[in-house]
Amino acid sequence: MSRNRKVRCPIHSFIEVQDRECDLLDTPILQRLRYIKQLAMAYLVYPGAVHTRFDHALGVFHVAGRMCEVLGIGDGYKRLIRSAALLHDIGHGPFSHVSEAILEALDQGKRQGNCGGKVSMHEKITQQLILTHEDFNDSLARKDREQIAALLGEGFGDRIHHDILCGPLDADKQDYLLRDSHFCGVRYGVYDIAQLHQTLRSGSDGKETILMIEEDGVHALEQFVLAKYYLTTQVYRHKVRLITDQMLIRAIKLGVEEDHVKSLEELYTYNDDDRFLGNYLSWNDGRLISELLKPENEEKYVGRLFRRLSKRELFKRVFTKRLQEISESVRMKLPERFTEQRDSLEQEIAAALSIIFKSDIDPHHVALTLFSIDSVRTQTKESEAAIMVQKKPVPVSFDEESALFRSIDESSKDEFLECYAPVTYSNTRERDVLLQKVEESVKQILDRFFSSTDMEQEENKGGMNHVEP
Amino acid sequence: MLSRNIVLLTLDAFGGETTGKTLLLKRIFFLGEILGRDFGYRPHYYGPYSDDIASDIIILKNYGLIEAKTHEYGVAGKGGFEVRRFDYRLTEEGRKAVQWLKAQYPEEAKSVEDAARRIREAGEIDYMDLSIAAKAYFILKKNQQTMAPKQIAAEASNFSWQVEIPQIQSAVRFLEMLGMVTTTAPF
Repeated sequence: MSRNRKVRCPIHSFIEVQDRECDLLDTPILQRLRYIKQLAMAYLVYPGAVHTRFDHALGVFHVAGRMCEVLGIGDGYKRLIRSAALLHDIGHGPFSHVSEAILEALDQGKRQGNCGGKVSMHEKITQQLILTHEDFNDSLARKDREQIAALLGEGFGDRIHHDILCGPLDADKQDYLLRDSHFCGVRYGVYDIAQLHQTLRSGSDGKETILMIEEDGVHALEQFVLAKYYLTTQVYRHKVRLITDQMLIRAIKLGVEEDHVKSLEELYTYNDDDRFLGNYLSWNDGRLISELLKPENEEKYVGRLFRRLSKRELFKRVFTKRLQEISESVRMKLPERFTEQRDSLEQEIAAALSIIFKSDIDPHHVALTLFSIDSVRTQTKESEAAIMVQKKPVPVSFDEESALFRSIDESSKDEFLECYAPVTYSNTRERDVLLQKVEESVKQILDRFFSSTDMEQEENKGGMNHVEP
Repeated sequence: MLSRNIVLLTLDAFGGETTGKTLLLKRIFFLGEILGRDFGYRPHYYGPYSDDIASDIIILKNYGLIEAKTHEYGVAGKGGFEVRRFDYRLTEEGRKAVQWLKAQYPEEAKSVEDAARRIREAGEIDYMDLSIAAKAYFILKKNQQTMAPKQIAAEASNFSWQVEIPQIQSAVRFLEMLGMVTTTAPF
């Protein structure tokens, strides 16, 4: 009897799951993803953003299968690629990339891989689970596990199989751009997926099969690249979303480093063993929220901060600057020393904020963050440029073929320094006056830290800020 | 040390300028191998390539620490090499930054200088030969076994890299001088 299922999906309509894929879908490891939100607490900005990793996994599974059909991939590989797509995110922890950031901050070890050069922590855990977890004993043979893990890692078979799962035009991006746009209620991530699929081709370079697009697909690909850029700038890097992520990360890190909450220490101290994995899999967003709101944590850093977050009493952005707008020596030295100097900088800024806002600001509640956004041209150069457009007599790269992307200046990559803190103001005029003072003060602090010699810097470390309230 | 600062130190170690982006990227590829640092190189249509280092170059240029001059050469040749050449050189600010790095991180700066000297002493080869050497080394490292030039050339085609056996032979001589490979029989 056929065990096919059809699952309703708001993005791709019906998603058909066949035979043993149903077994995979029903494993507790996959079902756990129903309780991990795709975009952490982005619902505090976009109320509709409550979709989960499970929805996304199904979407990637569907898109990967569709790509296999268009590209004429045989049934054997298609089954493996669809399974790999379904399993590609099983290593995510509570609140997805928030857990990732904490695990990586507390464990400096990253490993070499093929997806963008480095393997992230959730990719590492995903690989371990695929290769060893008993949930898959009935649904995947040993050989299947190895081949699926290889597909998500270095690749297996033709390069095109890997490209479908991990590449500039992979099924993952194709799904999350549309899905995140839909659930956030924005239109930035929308592109013509049907046209893109129509023009996908498996081209031969003489020896190997690689993913290419027809000339007719260049405009759909341009739309896809712009969708990725706009969604990054408008959703993933949205000011309030960055603040909620930083507050959550800060709360949990304080829970581990200052409060020594045992359950958090166990969850976020990565170990390459079954005990860690077993515990890790028992956590999801709901359990973590319950843990952080437990009465015994109420007076701890973690409890206080998370309660603020859950009541949407968010930190404010008190400082934002492109590094290019900061003095030359600071912009050169700050990125190099950011990790080691961040605590000291946050202490100094907290002292300055306390004077400016006439209230005690806890340095632990001052979050300084450094991040970058590539220009759309740079993003393209670093990823989609590798996609070859099928042309006679020889294929050319998308970067060369697209008139739109050739015309964009690539040099506008931006690095931002931002600071978030628990401050209040009564109106926008007061806000503008106070934040102007903060800006001057932070610039002074940065200059003292990075423009002076090391000897002067030591002397300056204990110094007060000369800020007029 | 951030990889962008390794780029600055590398430029300095090779006389403060470089002719072509490929040359700079491939020098840093070998530098990473010697220093045991992961700069995110992965197989690209044109050879081992690092998005991270390419991005670093843009940032350094934006911050005025390096300057780029572009030379246009028209259509790509059969091998797919640069049609536009980007020459990079340290600016005055870049030179100050290098001095700061050398003062603050003397050991790391020295290790970059030593690695650069090893690359220079292995042979002053142009960007195309260095690119082929990078491809050959990438393949040898990936396979972790003794390979004949013919096998390396065959494997290269799996990455869509077109290299001829004599080019591999020349590349292997460079890699040998660099102490990164040993040959078991004469070619």
